[in-house]
Amino acid sequence: MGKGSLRKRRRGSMIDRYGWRSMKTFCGVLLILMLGAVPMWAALGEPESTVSADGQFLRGQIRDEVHQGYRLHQITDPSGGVIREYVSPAGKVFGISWQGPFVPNMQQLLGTYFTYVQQYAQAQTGRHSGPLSMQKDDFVFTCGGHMRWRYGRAYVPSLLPTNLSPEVVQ
Amino acid sequence: MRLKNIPVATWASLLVVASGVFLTSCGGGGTGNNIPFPVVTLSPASASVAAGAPLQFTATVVSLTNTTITWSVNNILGGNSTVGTVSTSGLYLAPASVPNPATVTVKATSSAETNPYGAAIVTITAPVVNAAVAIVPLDASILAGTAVQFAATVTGTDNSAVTWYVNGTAGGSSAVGTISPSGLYQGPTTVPNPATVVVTATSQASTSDSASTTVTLTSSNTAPLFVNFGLNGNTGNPNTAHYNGLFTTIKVCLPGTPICQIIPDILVDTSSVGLRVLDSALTIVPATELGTVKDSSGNQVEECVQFPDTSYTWGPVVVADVVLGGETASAVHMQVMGDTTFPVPYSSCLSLGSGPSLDTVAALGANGILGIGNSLQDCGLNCAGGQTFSAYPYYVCPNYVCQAAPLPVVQQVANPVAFFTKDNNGVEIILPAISSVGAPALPYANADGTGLIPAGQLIFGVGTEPNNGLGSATLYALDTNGNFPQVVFDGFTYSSGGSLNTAANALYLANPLALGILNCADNPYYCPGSTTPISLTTYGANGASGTVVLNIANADLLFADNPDFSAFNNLAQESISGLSTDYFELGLPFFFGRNVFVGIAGTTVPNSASAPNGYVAF
Repeated sequence: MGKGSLRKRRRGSMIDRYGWRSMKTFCGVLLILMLGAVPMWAALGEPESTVSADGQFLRGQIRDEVHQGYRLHQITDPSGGVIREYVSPAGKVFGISWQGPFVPNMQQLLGTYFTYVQQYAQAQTGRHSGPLSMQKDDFVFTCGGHMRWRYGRAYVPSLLPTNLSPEVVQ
Repeated sequence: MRLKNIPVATWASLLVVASGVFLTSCGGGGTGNNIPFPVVTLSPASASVAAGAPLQFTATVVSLTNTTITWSVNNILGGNSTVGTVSTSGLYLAPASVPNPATVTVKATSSAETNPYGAAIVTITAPVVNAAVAIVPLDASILAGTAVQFAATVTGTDNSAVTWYVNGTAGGSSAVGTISPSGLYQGPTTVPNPATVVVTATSQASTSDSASTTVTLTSSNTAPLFVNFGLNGNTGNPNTAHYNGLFTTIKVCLPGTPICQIIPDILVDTSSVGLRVLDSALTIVPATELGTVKDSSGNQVEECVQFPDTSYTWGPVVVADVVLGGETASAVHMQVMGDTTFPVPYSSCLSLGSGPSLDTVAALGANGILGIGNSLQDCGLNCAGGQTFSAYPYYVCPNYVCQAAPLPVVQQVANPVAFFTKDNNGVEIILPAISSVGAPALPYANADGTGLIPAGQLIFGVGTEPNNGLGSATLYALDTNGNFPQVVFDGFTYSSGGSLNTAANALYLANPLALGILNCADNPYYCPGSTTPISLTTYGANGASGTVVLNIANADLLFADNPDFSAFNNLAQESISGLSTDYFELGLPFFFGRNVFVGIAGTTVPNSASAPNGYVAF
């Protein structure tokens, strides 16, 4: 399935439901939310409750899907980037992925795991480009892409629901 | 001294060889009638000696009457500085330089009645010199038809004279360029093939000692491409060495003036767009003298760019004339890497991933980054307003508080190629094929001038000049994300696709583990048991497809076999975590032995293919 078609369909339904005015309002509110210090969506390894507590506008932007063995929350940011959060039946975010023109705020997305990325990335020298992949303790992370298009993925193996492959985080 | 007579038969056994002076025979008996003719012999009878070097002779005098001898060189008693000197003890000292003729005769002459003598032929050879030759400048690049002055330094001998060669021909030739006895190289008027020639200086005192460097000739629409470890050199550690670093030389000028600075060691990056130069590298043309880019309120525009590995740069957007090869982008917007006025906005810029800052030579290993990807500006409409988003790369800092801000497209950091007056629709990147064991660097030549590996060429324009036609290359239109829409590998379709990236030092591949290719134990690359070919099928958004065959070598063996090599066409590593949605990022190893075109979105496509997002072709 092409990501492009998925994105178009999602955007279309949102505009249909809320109209352009709501879209603009949403963007403004999202900005305020994103500039704030408090994570506005669930961070990796944390409970799903932060997602549902995010309020009406964010929920409006989130597409929720129920899959065999996990739930998926999909957020489209104002640049068209897509962030996906994978939640286990136990209610924990076990995986996160993103794709789009910009890198999302990883500090918010990764929560306490952000430190791992920071420490690993800062120890890297001798390379300027190319993706970054790391695995430390119970944390798997990768990001890459190029200017105007970034992708990345992170998951916590121990939080993966039983019988679920890391492949679902994509 | 008087010698006693001795029987002839006993002489031989009584000979006493006194080192070099004479022989004294002592004994009794015998009669005067038996006295033989006096004999003098010299040892060695012939020899070669280096100019300035000593040689000890031994004279054997057989005489009953007089064992006094005198020494001469070419019949000159004691010799002289031209033919060499000889002492009363037979120590010959060759002259400082080779005489003409180069052979002399050393004689030991007896004072006995018939003045018998022994002679030795000595050939004086050129002195053995361990000369070391060095040339500057190294790995120059010049426009065809222009000149460059070389200088050679010779150490280890007093004779500093050198003979100059171009591609092994003394004095060069019109095809590859000529070089004068004083080292002035005059490039040929047309770019030779290959575009890199070797200049060698050979010591005249010691013709086996030489040094070589390269000159890469450029035409009006080409710039040289160098592959090496970059400004930080070879760290000797596979985890930190910058293998496959691709660099060029640029010229930055104050807008509209002839005040310019040539800056070498600029990373060439098809995965980014725009020129970014370290503040510390801008010396002749300081950043503060360049034109400024301001928002409508008069605030200086700053930019925080995050690179794919989460490293970042922070600094102002400025205006400069940028010269690449023979082409000029006038008043183009570029970024200065590093800012001493405004601090990095940690709350937003650094929350994006927070790898290391690249704003020093130590961190970047280069003087800057030349982004020549497939778009006109680095961000485009997404950063131009209409949406407000914390991930904007552009900032303004009123009252020293930096905030992300939209910036009109025309004010954004731009692809300098797109701002040339011609040859502005893209680039062609040509790197020569290299051996499967790698190469020390591009360009490279051995000290004796052999083993040339030419530099690569960055050619501006696609289908605009005789030297940049698409030819038989397959054109792959990029998708809206700037990627191959899909890549098929090992029977599996990867819908994230992939891209070509000159700034990535390896082939980042998805899931070769399926083919039994394992990671190295102590570095990030692959270490298959033996070099393994893989085949990818790449697809364009225009329906084009083609097969790419790549090799994956054992990186441990590559590094162990040639620890000084910087260029490898078979260095690969894992793209992500072995997941099926992985992305193929084909770094510099892909480019060796290929001609690769990168077309800028929105420009005229030579063969009328539909490529609104730009394209790659190879």
